[in-house]
Amino acid sequence: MATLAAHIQPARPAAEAPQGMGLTYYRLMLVMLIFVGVTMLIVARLAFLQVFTDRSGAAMLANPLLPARGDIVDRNGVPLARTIDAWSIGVHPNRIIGAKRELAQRLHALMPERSAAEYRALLNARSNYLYVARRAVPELVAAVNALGEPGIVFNREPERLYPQTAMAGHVLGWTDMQGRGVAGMERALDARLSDAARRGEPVALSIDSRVQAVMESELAAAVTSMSAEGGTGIVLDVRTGEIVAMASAPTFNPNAAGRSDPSALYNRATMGVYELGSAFKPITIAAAMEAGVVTSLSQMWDASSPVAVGRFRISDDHPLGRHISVAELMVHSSNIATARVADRMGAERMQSAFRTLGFHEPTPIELNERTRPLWPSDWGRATVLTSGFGHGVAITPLHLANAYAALVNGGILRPATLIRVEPGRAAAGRRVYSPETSYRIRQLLRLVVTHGTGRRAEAPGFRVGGKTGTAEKAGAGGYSNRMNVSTFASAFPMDDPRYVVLVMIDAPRPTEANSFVTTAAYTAAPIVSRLIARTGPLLGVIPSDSRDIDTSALMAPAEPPGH
Amino acid sequence: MIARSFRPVGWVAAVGTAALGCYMLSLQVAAERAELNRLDARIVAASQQIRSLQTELGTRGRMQQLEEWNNEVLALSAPVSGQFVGGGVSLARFDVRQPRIAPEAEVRLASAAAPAPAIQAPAAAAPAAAVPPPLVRRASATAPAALPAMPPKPVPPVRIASSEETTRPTLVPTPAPARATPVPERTRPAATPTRTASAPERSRPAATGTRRSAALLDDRTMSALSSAARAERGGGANR
Repeated sequence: MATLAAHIQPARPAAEAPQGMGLTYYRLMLVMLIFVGVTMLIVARLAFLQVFTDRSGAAMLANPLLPARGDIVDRNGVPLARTIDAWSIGVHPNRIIGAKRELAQRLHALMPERSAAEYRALLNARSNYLYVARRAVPELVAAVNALGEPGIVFNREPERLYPQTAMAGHVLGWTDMQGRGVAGMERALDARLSDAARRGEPVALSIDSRVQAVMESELAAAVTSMSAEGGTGIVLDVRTGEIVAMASAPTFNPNAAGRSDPSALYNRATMGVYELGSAFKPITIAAAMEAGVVTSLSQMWDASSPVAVGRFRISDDHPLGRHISVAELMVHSSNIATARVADRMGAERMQSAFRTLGFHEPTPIELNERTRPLWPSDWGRATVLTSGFGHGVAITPLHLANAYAALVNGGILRPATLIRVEPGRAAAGRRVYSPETSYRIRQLLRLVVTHGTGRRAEAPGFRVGGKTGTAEKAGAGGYSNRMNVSTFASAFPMDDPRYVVLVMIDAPRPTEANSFVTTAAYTAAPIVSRLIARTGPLLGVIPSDSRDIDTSALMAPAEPPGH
Repeated sequence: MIARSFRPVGWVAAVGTAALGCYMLSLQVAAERAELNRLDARIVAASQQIRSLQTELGTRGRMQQLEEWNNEVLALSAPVSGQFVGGGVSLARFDVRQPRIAPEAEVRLASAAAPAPAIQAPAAAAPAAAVPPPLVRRASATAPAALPAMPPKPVPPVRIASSEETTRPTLVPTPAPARATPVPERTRPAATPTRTASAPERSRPAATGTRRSAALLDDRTMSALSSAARAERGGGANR
């Protein structure tokens, strides 16, 4: 073997073999190094991935529990607006393989809101993708899926749902198809609701859905039975300025805001400006008390004959024909006496009384749907006198509710808010009346309900106090005798006021429901009574027959000449 | 020799085992982690489902719907002021037995003088007999008689009870009387056509009060409680 090996070892190949072998080894080594290198690279990369990739963090990036838009809940946590995954039905017109005419017929049978011709046009469109239906219910999706057309596709996309349907629609507003707030609190809170860092937490409104529901149902029943144009109702917490309920009739369903009547979208509580009539009288009297014009309750005011101012004559519906006290002024709702008080006040002081309450500017509420009141440009004597009993100055019902809150809560005016206020965090507000004035006004308001025009607003045990206001509606051709804006502004319980309740009925017609009388006493006051009786206990006001505010001091001068 | 030549094999085996162990461990960890992820996914799915079910429930039970149901079926109305009780004092005015409290307290002093008059059998005479006998009987904690304001209630036909009551002031804590009493009581609702003295039920709670030391929740106590409740219901209905 060794000889054989020696034998075949020639000198010539030996000379070139090392060179060739070396090259081969060299190349092999290179290839091996590349292999090793690549392998090491892959291993290193894997190790790196293994060690440094935070998979839980990657999972958190798109947290499936984080809603696309924050929830809106009421003050007790009842959801008012939520984002859910809804089905949408789309179509790729260029991928349809079935007969388009027949498909359009079938789609029309399933979704009758569009005609077969419209569906045909949709299916023949040159676009790549079109929506057939959004917010489709699962049954519809199943039915369309059963058509077996591959060109029709189903997607899940976030949709805004308002579980309470039409309730609080004016407060909540609605969103557009892209999920941006268009109106109401959806618009006012848009940044907060779509902020990724904060949208996991629901936003609590000050609305109490139970009270809101009662308010809406009572209001809707009244508006229907009285064939009124509309109505509005507000419940306001006098201690914090929170709006516990704000309704406007007619209502709309924010789930399908686009399909509702445009007039229903109008929020009368914040957008409608009205001359609210006699409901202004407590404001005038309070201002007169503050200014020292009304010094005592025994002070008598002349209501014997109508007041002539320019070409107008201010008269009473039920002329008393004598001098009356302030208590009688309120109980009988005398325009003449109020005009005399306003006359004594003068333009300057009347204006400042209204300005203090913010009647010259929009209410500082979160909603964008709010209007500037109609503030008279000319404060002549006629304006001053008529403004005393609520004509000439047109404000929103929310303005009046807020003013009443300041009247009864001891004299502090706080901005009305739709966001829940944590206990003890109420806005400081500013003092507009002295506590004594506020107390007097509470007595007077209670007297109106126990002895005056507001008797129908009494809810047994709840110590309601309030003032009626029936104004003639200003139309195109001046004031209309037959069209009223009937308001009842009230607060309860009067011995320790907690809530202001304001109900306004816009243009009620004389029907059986209001005994064929369209004044506030027969239209708005009964609603207030029913609302308070139903919601008082829910709001934490326990009815009591043994408590009441002491009005005996006012009764003494008011009674003997009255009857 | 053999061991030495097998050493590499041993090494290979050891290293292999160790590597396999490490690998198994990491596999275990990976499996565990995958399981966790699956669990997370299930939690997420569950909470999404909870949310959607909550939404559905809230939508179906929306305020308008509830009110509709109330209008159609339940017809509940808001409570009125009389239905709220402000405190203990106003609660006490719902106690139908209230008028009896004062005389009873007075009579306890006289309880030792009990026995004699109670033995007349039919008890029909009891209301006629003036003040002293009923007072005594009440002190002895049964009951009978003469509260004119009470609604007429049937009375045991056999008035064993009263004779037994007379023994009670001596406070014999034996269970025997306690067991004896249910007999007339059970007979009472069955027959009893003779309407006579007013309120045997009314007095039962007093009886239990005296005997509470003997047995807390025996038959007698229970029946006394339930009859008191019945009486109270009756009283409530009268109101």
